[in-house]
Amino acid sequence: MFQLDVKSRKSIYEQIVDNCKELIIAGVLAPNDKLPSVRELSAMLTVNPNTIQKAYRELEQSGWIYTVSGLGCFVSESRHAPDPLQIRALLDKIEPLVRELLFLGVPAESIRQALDKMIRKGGGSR
Amino acid sequence: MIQVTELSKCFDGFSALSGLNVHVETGSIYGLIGVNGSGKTTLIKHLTGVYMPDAGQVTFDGEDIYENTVLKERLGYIPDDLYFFNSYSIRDMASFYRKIYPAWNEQRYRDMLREFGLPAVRKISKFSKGMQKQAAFILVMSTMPDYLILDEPIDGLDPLIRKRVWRYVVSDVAERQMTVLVSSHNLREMEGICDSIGILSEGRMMIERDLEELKTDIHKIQVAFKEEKERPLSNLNILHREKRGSVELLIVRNAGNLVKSELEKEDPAILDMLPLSLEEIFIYEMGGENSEIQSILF
Amino acid sequence: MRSKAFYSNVFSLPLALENLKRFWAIGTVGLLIYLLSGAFPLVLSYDRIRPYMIETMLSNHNPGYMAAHLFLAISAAVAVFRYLQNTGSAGVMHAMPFSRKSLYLSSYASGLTLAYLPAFINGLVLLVLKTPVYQTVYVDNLPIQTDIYTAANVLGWMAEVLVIITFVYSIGVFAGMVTGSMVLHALTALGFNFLLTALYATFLGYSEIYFFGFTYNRLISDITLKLSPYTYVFQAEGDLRASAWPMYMVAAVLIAAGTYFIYKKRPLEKATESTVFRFMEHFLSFLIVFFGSSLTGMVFYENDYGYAGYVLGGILGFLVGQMIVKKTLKIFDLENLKTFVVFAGIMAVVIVGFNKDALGYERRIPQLGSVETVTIDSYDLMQGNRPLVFQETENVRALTDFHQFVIDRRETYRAHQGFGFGMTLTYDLDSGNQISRRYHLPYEAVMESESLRRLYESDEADKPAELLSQLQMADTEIVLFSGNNYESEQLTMHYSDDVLSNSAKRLLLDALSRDLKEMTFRQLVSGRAAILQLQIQHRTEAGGKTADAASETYPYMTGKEDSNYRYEFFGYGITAEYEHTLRWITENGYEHLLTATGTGDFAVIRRNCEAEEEEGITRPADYDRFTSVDVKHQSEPGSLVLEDPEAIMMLIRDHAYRDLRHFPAEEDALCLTVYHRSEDKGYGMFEATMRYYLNEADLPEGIRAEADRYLSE
Repeated sequence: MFQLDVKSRKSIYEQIVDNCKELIIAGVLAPNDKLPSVRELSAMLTVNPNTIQKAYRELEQSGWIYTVSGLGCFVSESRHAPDPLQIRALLDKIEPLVRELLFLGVPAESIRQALDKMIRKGGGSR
Repeated sequence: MIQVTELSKCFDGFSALSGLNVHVETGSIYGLIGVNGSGKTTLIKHLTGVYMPDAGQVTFDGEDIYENTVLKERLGYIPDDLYFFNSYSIRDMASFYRKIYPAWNEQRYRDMLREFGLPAVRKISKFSKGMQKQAAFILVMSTMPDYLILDEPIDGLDPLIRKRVWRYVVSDVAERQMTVLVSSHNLREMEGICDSIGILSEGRMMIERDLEELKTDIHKIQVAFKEEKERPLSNLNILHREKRGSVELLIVRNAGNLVKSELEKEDPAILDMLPLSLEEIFIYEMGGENSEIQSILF
Repeated sequence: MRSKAFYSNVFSLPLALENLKRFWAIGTVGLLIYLLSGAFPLVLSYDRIRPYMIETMLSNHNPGYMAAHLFLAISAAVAVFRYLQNTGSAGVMHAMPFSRKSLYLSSYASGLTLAYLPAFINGLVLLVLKTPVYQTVYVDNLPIQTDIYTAANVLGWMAEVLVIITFVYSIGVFAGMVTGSMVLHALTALGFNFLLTALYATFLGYSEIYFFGFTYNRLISDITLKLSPYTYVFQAEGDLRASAWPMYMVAAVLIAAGTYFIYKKRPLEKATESTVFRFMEHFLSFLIVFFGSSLTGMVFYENDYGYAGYVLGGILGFLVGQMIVKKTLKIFDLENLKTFVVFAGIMAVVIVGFNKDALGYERRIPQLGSVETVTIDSYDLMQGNRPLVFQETENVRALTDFHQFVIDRRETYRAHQGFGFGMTLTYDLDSGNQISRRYHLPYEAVMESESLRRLYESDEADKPAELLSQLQMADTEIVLFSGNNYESEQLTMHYSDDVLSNSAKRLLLDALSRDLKEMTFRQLVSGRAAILQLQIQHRTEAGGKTADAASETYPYMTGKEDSNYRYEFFGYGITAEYEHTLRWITENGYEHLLTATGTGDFAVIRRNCEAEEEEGITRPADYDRFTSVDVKHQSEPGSLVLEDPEAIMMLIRDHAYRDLRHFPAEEDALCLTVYHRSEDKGYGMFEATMRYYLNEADLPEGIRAEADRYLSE
């Protein structure tokens, strides 16, 4: 399903969460699609099932997926209200990149245009 | 669940373990790390019911392991110095194990044998070290243990085999809630597999934490300020501080937000917070660039 | 999944079977040894099997069998418990679902099976090969032709071997439980089995060297050898009787049980160290010191190097021992020095204790009141080859006086080398114990002893003489041997009176009896040459009491074994002092026995007694031309040849002594050697038969002149 980067600074748990989110965002995983079970995924990735368990729990808590006991985990229909802390964290991640672009001499307007493109690609509105 | 309470053991006046406490949750993979001579093997010999404690207890789900044959039927152990009956082949050993481990799974044994591609009738003593480890692994896993104790399990195995081995381990943990304790020096690999970590030093448990928690609690900071100034940063638990040119490297054991807020107070020009690898955590926790400790890591 | 724990807690059949599978080679080798030493030679000589072979085989005196027993028992013990001697194997085995009890029982049982099965199979083979083999066996002292190769005998062998192997094996297992390496296990397994025997032998050595009067007590030796069924076969009583089997099996079981308790306590981290318990380390180390020091010390001491041997052996033993138990060459530290001092102290106590007779062995004389009988056994002082036994108080006192006399002079007497009296004194106490001492005393000690004189001239001392008068002629055979030539006369044939009438024989025995009673002590110890040997064989019906309790039971003279009788033997050396006997001899026509020489024989008087006597010498070349007193032995200066038989006889009878008791030194005596013609040595050759000693001052007139002429150089 996705690859893990063992060299990455990101912990495996984070990678799983992030990767799942990406797949959901990209539409590869549609709402109500079933995610691989903890067992399956742990065997596939050779990862500690507890880690996967934790990741799924995190995704569930932030509303990305829901669990049906006995059946497994499924992609959520709609999005709940976003978690402000989450948003803050994500924006924090953008900040150093923006700063670097500015430092390199990219004009602010180009940056804004690039951002617009990304937003449109992601299926959001202006 | 494996619980070790106030375990002490002395050899000829040398205190190998003193007041050791270990807790391994059921269905978790616990990584035991420590320098050579810190007592890892001694602990493991207690966990497998080989040594008798001088003081303290070693229990599995509440039952003492020493001389507990019912419990040992569900325990799988792979030591770092392997032992097979002289001149026996895998098949010979399997037929013996089959008789003494009630949970022996013949199908799994055959499947694993096929998958690892080992000859069943050749003398194990003629195998290479790596193949012997694989043989031991096949035999032990075929007994379907509820508890698995591995002492330096994967040294000498190529990456493909290692992957295979871990896949089996991880499946059993997922499937049957097998409880695993691994002792290894390969911290990078442990990092990928373990969910909790115990760092042993001189017979005592230094740190025992969930790996994730451990990582969120310690950060590597690269920070640079526009102006040179004394900044004691006394509110932070600084494990290590180094200046490299105009950039300072800090290893801090605090919650992420506290660190961020404390540092932002100083108005840094650059502030990068990075997670640490298990290796780095180990080095810095065990007291800085101690050459002895450095040398045991890859 | 059903737990197999019930079985794995007490005994694990899979483990036991696995052990048999793994170590089958040991059993096979053992079986081969059995077959090659017993069954194979048996088959090769199947049509003419020697009874001796069957007997040694089935009584476990066959060396191949003995080797196999030891090999199997020790190897099996070492093999099945090998897992304890290595950290890897110890860890894995104990992590497996076995309790220590089941590990122990399974290993023990499989090892024992491995050790015994070959013997069992060999037994079956022997049963198949069974065929009647007859041998004369004494049952209740009756000789009977018995089939010694029967099923019962083979089964008996199988049972005996089971006892031996179980015992040796148990000790082997114990050794493994207290040592930490396979090599040391094997060595101690072997060593412990013979430890008591070795200790006994060492103490025997010390006693022999240091104790004045020490005599080897066969009883104690037998008891020591009986401590192990393996060494049992080497003791004098013979075969391992079935009654002893349960005792050894019980002992083996107790040892095995004790070993189990040690196993429970055994710290597994000690694998590959040499010993498991601290105590064992010191114990083994001390044993090595003890044996090393004792052995070297005794050898050096006997070769007059004093105590150097003990010190040398002790130091070497300590160094080697420490290296072995500590498994390192670095043993030179303070801790070890302290241990060495302790060991040296113990050795010193032992050696000094023996040397100074700390326990009073040398000085021990029992209280008069506690003595039941006392026996003197001394070749020269015996009469009729029989030791004298005394029980009357005053006689016992006389003996203890003499004994005390000897003990008081022990410093001198212990160093006495050379000629003297050998004497064994034995006290049989009321308590049933026995004290025995054997001395080698200088002649004066005995000859001048007033106590001994009283003893020998007492009435009790006449008992053997009185016995003679009680012998039934119909059960007595008498033979007379000349003292000096090879002639003899049988006075009885097949216990009949065909040769000589019973009344004549009776008179002879009465004469002898009288002579013995009248003999004074001085005469007895005079050491005069015997001119006649009188030998009596007396038979009693089996089951009946013999004339003397301490009798030898073998047929002597007739060579025929009559199964209904027991035989006793009495021998007397008749000297000139035996008046009445000699008178009987001459009166009954046996004087010819009193001549010294036959035709052509001669005697030589030499000054130098130590000169090597040639085994065979020729007569001087000009034989015919010389008379007896003129001949001087040509090839040898300082000697005088006598040919006149009467002169020779007279010298022997009246002037000769059979040893040097009356002479201060060998140089002071002249020796008289009688030569007889002997065709064995070649035609015309003579060999020396008897040698006597003469006092130069005491030579008769006729000889003296010649002696002066020829013997001075």
